[in-house]
Amino acid sequence: MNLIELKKIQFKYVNSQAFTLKINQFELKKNTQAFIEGPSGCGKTTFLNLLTGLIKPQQGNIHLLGTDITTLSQIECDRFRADHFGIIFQLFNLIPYLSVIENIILPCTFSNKKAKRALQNESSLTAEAYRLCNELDIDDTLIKKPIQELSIGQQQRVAIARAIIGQPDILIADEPTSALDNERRDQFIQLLLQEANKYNMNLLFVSHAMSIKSKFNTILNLNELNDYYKDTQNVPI
Amino acid sequence: MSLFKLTYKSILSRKLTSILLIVSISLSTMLLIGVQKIKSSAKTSFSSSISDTDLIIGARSGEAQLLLYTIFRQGSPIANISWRSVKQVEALSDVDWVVPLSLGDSHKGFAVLGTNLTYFNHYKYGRKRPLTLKEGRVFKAPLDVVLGYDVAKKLNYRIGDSIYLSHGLAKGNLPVHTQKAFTIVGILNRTGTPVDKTLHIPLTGITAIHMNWNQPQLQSLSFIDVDLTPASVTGALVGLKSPFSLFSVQQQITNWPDEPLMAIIPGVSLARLWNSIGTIDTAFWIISVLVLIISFIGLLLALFMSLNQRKRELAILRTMGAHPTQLAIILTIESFLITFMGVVFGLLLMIITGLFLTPILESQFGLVLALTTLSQLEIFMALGIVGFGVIIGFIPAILAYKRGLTEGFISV
Repeated sequence: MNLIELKKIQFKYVNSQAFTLKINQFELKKNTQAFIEGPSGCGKTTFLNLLTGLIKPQQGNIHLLGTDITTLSQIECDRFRADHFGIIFQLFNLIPYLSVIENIILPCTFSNKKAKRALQNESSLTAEAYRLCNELDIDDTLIKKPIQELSIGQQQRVAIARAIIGQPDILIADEPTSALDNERRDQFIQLLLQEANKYNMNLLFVSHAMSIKSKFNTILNLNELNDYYKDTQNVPI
Repeated sequence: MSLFKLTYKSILSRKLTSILLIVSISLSTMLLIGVQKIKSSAKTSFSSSISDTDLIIGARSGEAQLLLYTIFRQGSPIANISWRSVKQVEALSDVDWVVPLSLGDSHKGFAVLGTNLTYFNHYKYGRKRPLTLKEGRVFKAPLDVVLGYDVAKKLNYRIGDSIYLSHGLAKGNLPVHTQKAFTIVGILNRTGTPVDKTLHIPLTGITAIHMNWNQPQLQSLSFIDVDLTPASVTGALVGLKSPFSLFSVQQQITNWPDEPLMAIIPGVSLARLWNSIGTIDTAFWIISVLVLIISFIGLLLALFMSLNQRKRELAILRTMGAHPTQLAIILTIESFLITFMGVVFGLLLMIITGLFLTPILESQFGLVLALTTLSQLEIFMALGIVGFGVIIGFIPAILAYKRGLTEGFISV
């Protein structure tokens, strides 16, 4: 069973003519740590939206871990995302009015599966959140601080903890290091890869930073994946 | 963490806006339910000011006028009816009892009512409640006076005190019947009706003060050898033996051969009078409904603003697996919590205000308000406000739901 399998995907935004994503055939095996590259506007975010079921393609099928998410209803799709994905954004990942611990255990509100797995590690969700904090070097003084008082690097570490609680199958990181300096960025990636390996989670990492490419076992260039892009490039002017 | 807790924390994080909203909703709740309370209390105390009386008779004038001066001691009669007519009405076969009323004098702004002992037996208020004495006894001698509750309380009178009556009804420098000192012999219990603001003296007393007895030697005279039967009275309350003869007796009195009389049915006339003055509280009611609508527009505005501020937050929840319905639920819980707290706070505020205001309203206006308790209607109204708030909350909730469906990953 493949991790991801796309077949004859075609997607176009309803109110914009400019952009089309077309992927005839694409497979990704399990135990993947993929680096997804491509210039701005090449459809990286659209690609992630499709994978997570937040938007649906006009044509084609998306199989994730054997489930065709294009046939799922909206609620089933949301549940699937809640159960199988951990997501880290570029910035402002955290809910400002919740504490660090509350932010980390938040995904368990929407996924029983994650909550169950978290409770296999520790006796309570809070205990599991503390354990993850410990693993990610978020010390007690940081845990007690309000979210607004954390630095961006610290916030991103909390975001990792939140993404990996309940050990989802796929971690998605959407340019999580763009606001960090080089040293912090390397630390962040090191930590993320270490956790992904430890819990056997697949990782899709979107970034512009080519220098960190080498740390991943798979490299995907979205322009090369997008058949529509290839088609238009091949048309002689 | 439950959606409820999430919403609660979110509201707490926007303390100032939330508090302002709660205050605005609580003030309008207080206003709306307070107006409702004043309206219903006023109506109750108004329509229960007399009961068990079948007809009120007086000289032919207006229906409202007759009611106002005989029951509410407001305004003054144009003409009197003769004592002879009163006696003749009393003699009618269908008539059970007659209570003569003689008005026109006052004491420090309070009306003086001349009547006889039948008044204490037959005057009923509320649900046919009779008048009862708080202390003392009813009058016997012509110069005895029985005070209404408020008169005694406000003027600080006790049994045995002597008072003088004034001629005319207005406050101020009226000619005082200084020759006749009345002795307070009784004080009535509170009724919540105009009786509380009345001084009751015998009809013979009215005759006595208006007889031109300037001779000092007559002041302490016993009245036995003087005829103190009044020549005329202002009006009379009539009780019938059977309610079926109501219209025939009314007809008989209207067509009285000796003098122009009229008879009104108090219940009907009270209802008519209330309808004519009742528009004022409808105006109040409309104003408070408008105030409530304004606070709900405020709530709607705040919810829309918070929806925009929380675009990012809702998107995070969405990517975390929250269904658009759950986003809608979060916003609905938010409007529920805010209106609920507003309504509870408003009711508390009303009860607290009531504790201070009730005694003042009672002593100043004789308005007995149940501000500290809630009637079923008022509880329904409070629930209605909460329900309305939740319905208002649906608007941004639906918007959040739709946005949740179309908006995906956000990269800043």
